[in-house]
Amino acid sequence: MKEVYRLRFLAWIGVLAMAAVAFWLVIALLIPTFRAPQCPEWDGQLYTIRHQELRDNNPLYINLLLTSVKRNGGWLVLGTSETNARPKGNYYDFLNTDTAVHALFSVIAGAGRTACTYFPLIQSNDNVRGLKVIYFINPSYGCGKLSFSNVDYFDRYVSSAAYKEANRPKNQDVEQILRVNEGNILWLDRVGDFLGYEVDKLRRKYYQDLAFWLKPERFAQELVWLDSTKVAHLPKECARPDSSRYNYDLNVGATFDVHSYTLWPHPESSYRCDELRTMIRLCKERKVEVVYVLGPYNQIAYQKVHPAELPKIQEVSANFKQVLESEGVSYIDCTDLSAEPGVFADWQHHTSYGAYLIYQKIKNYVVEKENR
Amino acid sequence: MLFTDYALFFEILLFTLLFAGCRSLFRKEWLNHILLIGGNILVLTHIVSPKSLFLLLIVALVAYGAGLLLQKRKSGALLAGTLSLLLVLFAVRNYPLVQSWLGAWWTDTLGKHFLSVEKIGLSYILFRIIHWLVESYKGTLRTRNFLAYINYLFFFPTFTAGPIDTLNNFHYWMSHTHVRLNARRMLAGVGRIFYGAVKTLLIVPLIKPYAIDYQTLLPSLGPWGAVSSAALLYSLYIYIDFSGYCDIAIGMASMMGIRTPENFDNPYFATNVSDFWKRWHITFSTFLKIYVFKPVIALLNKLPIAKYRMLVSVMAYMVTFLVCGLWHGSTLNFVLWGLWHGLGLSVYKLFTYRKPVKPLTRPRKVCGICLTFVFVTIGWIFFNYPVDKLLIMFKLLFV
Repeated sequence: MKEVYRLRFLAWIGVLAMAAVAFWLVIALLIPTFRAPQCPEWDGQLYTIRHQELRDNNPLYINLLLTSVKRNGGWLVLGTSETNARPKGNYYDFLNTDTAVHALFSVIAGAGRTACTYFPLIQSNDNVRGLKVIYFINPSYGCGKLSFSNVDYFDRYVSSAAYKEANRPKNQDVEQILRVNEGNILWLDRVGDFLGYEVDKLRRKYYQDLAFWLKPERFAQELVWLDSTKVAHLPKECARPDSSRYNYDLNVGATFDVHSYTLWPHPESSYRCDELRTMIRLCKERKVEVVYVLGPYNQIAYQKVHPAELPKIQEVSANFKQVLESEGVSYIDCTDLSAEPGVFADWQHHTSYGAYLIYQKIKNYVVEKENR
Repeated sequence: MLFTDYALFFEILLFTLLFAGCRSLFRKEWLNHILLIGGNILVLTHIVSPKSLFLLLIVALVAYGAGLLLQKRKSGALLAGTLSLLLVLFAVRNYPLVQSWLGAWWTDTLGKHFLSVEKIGLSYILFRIIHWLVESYKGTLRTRNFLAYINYLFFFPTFTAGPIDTLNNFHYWMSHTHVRLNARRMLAGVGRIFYGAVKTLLIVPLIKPYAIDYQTLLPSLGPWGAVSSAALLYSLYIYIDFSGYCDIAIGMASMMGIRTPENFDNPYFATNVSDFWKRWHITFSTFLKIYVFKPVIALLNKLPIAKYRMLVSVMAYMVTFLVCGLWHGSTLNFVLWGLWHGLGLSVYKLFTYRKPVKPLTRPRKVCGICLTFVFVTIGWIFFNYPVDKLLIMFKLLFV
C-alpha cells in the first residue's frame, strides 16, 4: 500500500498534538479561576422542547419543561395543527404578551398530535402531577381519516420503544387506545425505534453531560425561554383580516381553494370521543389540572359549500361537548365562534383573528382562576 | 469522517482508544469484531437514523447471502440480478426522476421505507457491497466471515466519505492479532487526525465562502477576477476539505490498528489528466477502473468495433466518467463534469497512443502540471454551478 505521508513525520505531529493538548490541560488546571462550566440553574419558563426529545422520552428536556412550567405557575398548552405558530400570533402568544394574565404559556403542538400521543408522557412522568394544562380540541378530528387512529401521526410523535420501558401503571382504557395506534406500526419502524432508544439510553449517561461541558452555549441556544416581562414582538390585539386577503363570503383565506375538501364529518365514529374520555380520566388519575378548549368549526363554509354536512359537523362538536360534560370537567366553549366572519384560514385552522378571539375566552377563564 | 459536534468527536476518540487498548490486550479476532460492531452502532446512530441503519443492514444481509451463493456457484445471472437490484435501489433513493418513473405504487408501498434511508454514506456502502459481490463471484476474497463483512461495510471512520477499502485488506488488519499495539502507528494516527482537523476546521472555513460562490468576490475583483479566483479557490477548497476528512478517517483507522488505503496523493501535482485520476480520490477511481472501465472494455471487445482500439478506449472512458458524474449528483452539471474528464482522458490517450513513455523534462513537467490544474479547475466549475449559471460563468471567463 502506498505511503503518502511518512509515518515518522506523522508520529511527530501526533506527539506535538498530544503535547499541546496536555500543555493546555495543565495550564487550565493550574489557573485557580478555571472551572468546568456548570449547568446553570434556569429559573425561567421554557417555551417548548423539540419533538424528538419528547418522542424519545428524553428525561433531561421533558423534566426541564415540566418543572419550569410548574415552578413558574404557568400552563402547558397542548394541541394539534391549529395550535402551531400563526404569522400574527396564536392564542397562547396573545396570552404571553397580556400583562393582565400573570402566568406564561408553554406549548406542545403538531398536526395529528391528539390526546393519545400524550398518554405515555402523562403515564410515565411523575412531574405531570399538579401541572396546569390547556388542551385544545379541534372538531376536525371528528372528520374524514382524522376521526380514526392514525399510525403515521402516532409514530411521528411517540417512540414505541421509549415508552414500552417507562414504568407506567396499567390503565386498561389507555392500553386499549395505545394498542389501537401502536398495533399498526410496522416492525421495521419498531426495530428502528428499539435500536435508537437502546443506544440513546446508553449514550445519555455520559453524552449529554459531555456535550454540555464542551459547548454549554449550544444548550442555551436550543432552549427557547418565555419572556416573563411579557414584552414580546407581537401585537397586543388582532383585527379582522383585510378583505383584499380574505374571502368573507366563504370565511377562508383569499387563496384557499374551499372546494378541495375531503374531510367529511363522521359523527358515527366514536374513536376520538373514546380517546378524549380516556385522556380526561387519565389526567384525573395522574392529578393533572386540565382545562379543555372546544374549538370552533367553519360554519359559514359548511353552509355555503356543503350545507348537507353542517348538521354532521355540529353533531361531531356536540359529541365532544357531551363527553366533557358527562365527565364533569372544566371546559371553554369556543363553538360560538364558528359563525364569526374572519375566524378561519381554511376548513380546520383558525386565523390570528380567530386565535385572538379564542385568547379572550381563555384569558377570562385564567384571570378568574388566578383571582380565585 | 464527518463530525457534527465536539462531543461526537470525543465519543469517537474514546472508543478508538478503548478499541486499540482491547486489541492489544485480547488477541481474539471475534472479540475485536464484536467490539467494533458496538462502536459502529454507537457512532453511526449519531450520523444516520437507527431505522436507516437497520434497513441498510437488511440490504447488507441479502447481499451477504447472495455473495455466499456466488462463492459456491459462479452464477453470472445471480451476480447480474443482485447488482441490478442494488443499482435500482440506489437510483431510486438518489434520483427523483427514477422515483417519478416508478410512480405511486412504489412510493406508497416498499418505497416508502426505502426512501427513509438517509443518503449519507449510502453510496460508499453500495461500493463495498458491489466489491463483495463481484469479488465473491471472481473467488478472490480471503474471508467469508460474517462479522468481518458487517464491520467492513459499516466501519465508522470510512462510512460517510471513504476511502473505499477492500475486504481483504480490512480483514488482514482486523485479523492482525500477532502484533502488539504499535505506538508509532498510534501516534501517526493522532498526527493524521490533527492534520485533517487543521484542514477541515481551520483552512476550509477561511476559503469556503469565496470558493462556493463567485458573487462574494464580485464587488472587489470584478466579473473576470471573481469567477477565476472563485474557481481557483474552489479547486483548493474541494481538495483540502475532502482530503481533510480522509485524513481524519485514515488517522482514526490507524489508531485502531487498521491501515486503510490512501485517497489522495498530491493530485494538483499531476502532469496529465490520467495522472490526476491516479492521485485524486484514488480508491474511487480504482473502483471505477475495476468495476466499470474494465468490464466496458471487455464488453466492447466482443463487438465488431473491437478492431478500432482507440475508439474502444474513448468509449470506455466516456461511459466510465458518465457513471462517475452521475454518481456525484443527479443534475446535468455533474454529467457535464464527468464528460469533461472523459473527454480530457480521451484526448490525452489520443496524443499518447502508441508513443513510448519518456521521463518528462522539468519545463515540460511544470507545463503539464499547470495545464492539468487549469483543466481540472475548469471541470470544478461544472461541478460547482448548476447548468443555468454555467453559461454565464464561461461567458465571464472566456468572452
